[in-house]
Amino acid sequence: MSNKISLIISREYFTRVRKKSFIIMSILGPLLIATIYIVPIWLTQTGTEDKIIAIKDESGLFAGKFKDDDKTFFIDIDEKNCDDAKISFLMNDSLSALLCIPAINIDNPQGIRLYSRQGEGVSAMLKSMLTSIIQQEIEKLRWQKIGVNQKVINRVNANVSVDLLNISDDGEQDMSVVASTIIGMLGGLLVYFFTFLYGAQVMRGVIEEKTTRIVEVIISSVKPFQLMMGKIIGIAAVGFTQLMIWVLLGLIVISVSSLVLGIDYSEINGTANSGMVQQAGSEVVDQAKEMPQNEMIKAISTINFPLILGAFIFYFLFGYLLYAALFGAIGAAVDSETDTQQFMLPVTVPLIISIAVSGIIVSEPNGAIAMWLSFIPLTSPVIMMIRLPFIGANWQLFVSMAFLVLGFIIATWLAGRIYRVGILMYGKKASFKELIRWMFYQ
Amino acid sequence: MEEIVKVENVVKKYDKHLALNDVSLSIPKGSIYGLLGPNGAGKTSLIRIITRITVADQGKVYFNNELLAPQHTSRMGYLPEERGLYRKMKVGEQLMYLSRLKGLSKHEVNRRLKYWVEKFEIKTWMHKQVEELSKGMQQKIQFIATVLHEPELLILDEPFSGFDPVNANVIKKEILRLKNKGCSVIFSTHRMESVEELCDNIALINNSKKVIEGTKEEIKASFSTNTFTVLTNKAIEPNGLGIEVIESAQAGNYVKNWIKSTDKNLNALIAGLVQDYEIHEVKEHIPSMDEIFIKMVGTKEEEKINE
Repeated sequence: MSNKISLIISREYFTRVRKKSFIIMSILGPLLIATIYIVPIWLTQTGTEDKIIAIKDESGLFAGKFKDDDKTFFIDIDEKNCDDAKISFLMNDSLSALLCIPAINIDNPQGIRLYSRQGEGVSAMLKSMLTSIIQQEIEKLRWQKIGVNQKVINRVNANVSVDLLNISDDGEQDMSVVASTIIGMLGGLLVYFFTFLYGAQVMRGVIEEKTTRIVEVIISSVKPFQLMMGKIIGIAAVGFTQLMIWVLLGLIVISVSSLVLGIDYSEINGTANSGMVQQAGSEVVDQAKEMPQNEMIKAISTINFPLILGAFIFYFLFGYLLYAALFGAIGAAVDSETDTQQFMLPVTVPLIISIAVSGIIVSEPNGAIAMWLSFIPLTSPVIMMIRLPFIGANWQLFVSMAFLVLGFIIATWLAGRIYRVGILMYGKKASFKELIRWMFYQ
Repeated sequence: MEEIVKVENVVKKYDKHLALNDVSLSIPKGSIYGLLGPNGAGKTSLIRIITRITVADQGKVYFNNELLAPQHTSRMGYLPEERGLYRKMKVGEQLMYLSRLKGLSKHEVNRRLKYWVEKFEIKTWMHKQVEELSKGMQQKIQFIATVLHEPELLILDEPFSGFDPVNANVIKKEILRLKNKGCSVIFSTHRMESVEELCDNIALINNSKKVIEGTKEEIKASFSTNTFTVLTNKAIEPNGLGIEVIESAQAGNYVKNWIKSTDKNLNALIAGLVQDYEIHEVKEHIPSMDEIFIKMVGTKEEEKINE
C-alpha cells in the first residue's frame, strides 16, 4: 500500500518537475529576485564610476581638502575665475562636474555652485558629500576663529549610536527592528507565495483527474485518501525543489554577478547610510563609515537563524499541507475550475488577511492581533514567520505550532471525506450545505 | 457452477436516492456476464461496489468465495464508461503508472506491453502525450491499461462506445481471447447486438432492482411469445386450429401469416395447417435481447406512469 502512495508521489512529482513551466519558473525566479537585488546596487555603483571633479577654489580655503577615493578624483582647474572654468569644463568631456567656490566669507558662505553637464547630472550622493566637506571645513574655520582648536573639537564630538535591546527573562539581547522586519516579511511572503501557488496546483490536479475521469480507474486501485495524500506530498516535493533551485541559482547569480560586475554587496549598507556618515567630524569619518555596516551585521547576527530556518521549514510545510488539503477538497467538490470561486474565497481570505495585516504585525509584534492570528492555523504560517524574528522562541511559538498541526490533521480528515464523495459526483454543483453532509457520510 | 463474484442483497443509498435495492447476482467464472439496464438503473453503482470504489450500505459481496477485500481489486480490471487518461502524460508512462498501481513490476509491464504494442500497432505512439492521440486511439490505450495486469475479472462499461466498427471488432476479439484464457467479464451496455453476440449470462437491472437473471437461452425461452411466421399459398383462417392470426399479407407468390399459437407444440400446429394449406416456410419468432429489454423496461416505465 505504501508502495502505491510512493508511486503516486513520484508521478505527481516528475510530471510537474519535467514541465516546461516548472523549468522556466525555476530559472526566471532567481533571475527576477537577483535582478531586484542587484539592479539597484548596480545602478548606484554605475553612478559612482570613475569621476573627475574639477574644482575652482577662488577662496583658497579648501586646498587639499577634497581627497580622491577609488572612484572620485579631484583636480584643481587652472583658470582665472569661475566663468573661465565653466568654459573649459564644457570643452573637456572627461570632467564630470565642476565645483566653483567663490571667495566666500566664512560667516556667510554664499554662491558655491556645482555644475554638471546637461543630461548627465550628478548623484545626490556626490552633492551631499561635497556639501558636507565644505560644511566641515567652514565649521572648522569658524571654531578656529573663535579660538577652539581641533583637539577640543575632537574631544567634544560625540559619536552616539542607539543600541536596540530586547529584554526577556533570559536576559538582554541586541535586536534590529529593520533586520527583523526584513527577515520576517521575507519568510512570511515566501510561505504565502508557496502555499498559494502549490495549493492551487493540488486543486488543479484534482480537477484534472475528476474531469478526465481517470480518478475512477485510480481509486479502483488505491484508496481516495491515498490518492489525495500522494498528490499533496508529491506537489510539496515540487515546491521544495523549486525553492532549493531558487536559493541555489540565486546564490550562483549573486556570486557570479559580484565577480563579473564587480558589485560589492557589503557596500549597500555603507551607501545607504552615507548621509549619516557625513555628519561626523572629518577625523572620525573613516571610523564612522564602518559603523552602520557593522551595526547591520551585528543586528543580523543577533537574529536566531537556526530558529528562523527551522520555523520556516515547519510553517512552510504544515501551512502548505493544511491549505493543500483544503484546496484538494475544493477541487473534488467542483466540476471545472470556473466553479471554484465560491469555495476559494473562504479559503484564501485568511491568507490574504495575513499579508494585509503584516504592517500591524511588524509594528506591534506582541500585540493581541499578532498573538491571536498566530494561533489560528489558517493565518499562523504567514503571521508567525513575520513575528518570529521579533519575539524569538517562546511559548506562543509552540502553541501556534501545536495548533497548526492539529489544524492540519482536522483539515486533512475533513478534506479526505469531502474528496472521497466529491470525486465521484458529476454534473452537480455542490453547495456548502452539501459539503458538510459529505463530511458525515458513512 | 463456480462464481467469480457473488452479490448478496446489496443496498446502496445516496442521500435520498435509492441506487440499489436488495440486489443479488451471481456471476459465473469464465463467462461473459451482461449487465443490462437503462441509464440510472444502478449498474454503475453496482460496478463501483464490486470494484470497491464505494461501499454497499447493506449486503455482501464475495470475490472468488472470499468476502470482498482491498487486495482483490488488483485482480480486477475496470474500464469505466467515461474514459479518461492523464492528458499531459506520455502513453508509455501512463500505462506503466496504471499497471504498477495494480501491483505489476516495471519489468513485468515492459514484458507484457510487447504483445499489445504489436497487436494494436501503437509503437510510434508510446512516446506521445495522450492529448495528441485521437479519441479512438486513447480508448485503445485505456483498454490496454485495463487488461495489462491480466485480471481475473474484467469489468467493461460500454467498451465499444467511441470505436469505429473495425476497432470495435479488434476489441471484441480481444475480449473473447481473454475469456478463453479464463478471464471472467462483466459487460455493462445498452447495445443489445453486442449482448447477443458476446454474453453467456445476462442480468437486467431496472429502477435499482434486478429484474431478471439467467443464461441468454433461458431468458429468451422465458420470453417466447409462441408467435410464428408461416409462408403459405393462401391466407390462413384461424377456424378450429387453436391459433390466432395476427396478420396476413401477400408476399410475392406467397402469403405471409403472423400467427400466435395457444399451445407451444410446433408439430401440432404444422399438422393442423398442412391439411388445408401448402406450407412453404415456418419460422418461430425468438425475441431479440432488444425486444426483451424494451419489454421489461417499458412495462416498468408504464407501471410507474400508472401509479
